[in-house]
Amino acid sequence: MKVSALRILALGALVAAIGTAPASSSNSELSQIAGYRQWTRLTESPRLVTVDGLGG
Amino acid sequence: MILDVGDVSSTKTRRGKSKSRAKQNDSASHENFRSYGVVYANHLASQVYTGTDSQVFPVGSIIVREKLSRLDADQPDLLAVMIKREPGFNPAGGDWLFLTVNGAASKINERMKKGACLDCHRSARERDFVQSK
Repeated sequence: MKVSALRILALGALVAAIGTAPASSSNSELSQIAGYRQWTRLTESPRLVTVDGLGG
Repeated sequence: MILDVGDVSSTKTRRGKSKSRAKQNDSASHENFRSYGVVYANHLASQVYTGTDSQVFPVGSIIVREKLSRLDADQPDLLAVMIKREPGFNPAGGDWLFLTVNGAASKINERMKKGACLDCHRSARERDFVQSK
């Protein structure tokens, strides 16, 4: 009984960890790009581009 | 202020398609659409991008490209982001993580190691997968 309960708890903790990992990763990445407009601007002005020409 | 809008003739010939392509662009960065892009780089990335030495971006380099639907748009529709991760993260893609983020930079739409982003950037493999100036 106790072993089963422990297994259930462990499984629940694992599921919770898996569920929160992507969210925490997303928050980290979003925080990294927050305020990006204060960074160095590589293009002097908006350039007309297509998706497959991002370097233009 | 003079804005670089590329080749005028191509703009005219494609004008009829721009609206339909804009609709397709609502949900996908993979769709081929025309937009106005402004590129920003954090300190780590800008040092390499603007320098004349090795074109190898250090871990933590971040490049953000805004995708504006109009030249005078205040907020971008979408952001295309490259984040340089630790060695081994994405060997086939130069250890870059490719993201598409909503225009407000509040939600990540997609997170990719390969796919459309890498397919395009693979052409710049010799420049550490970053398109030239």
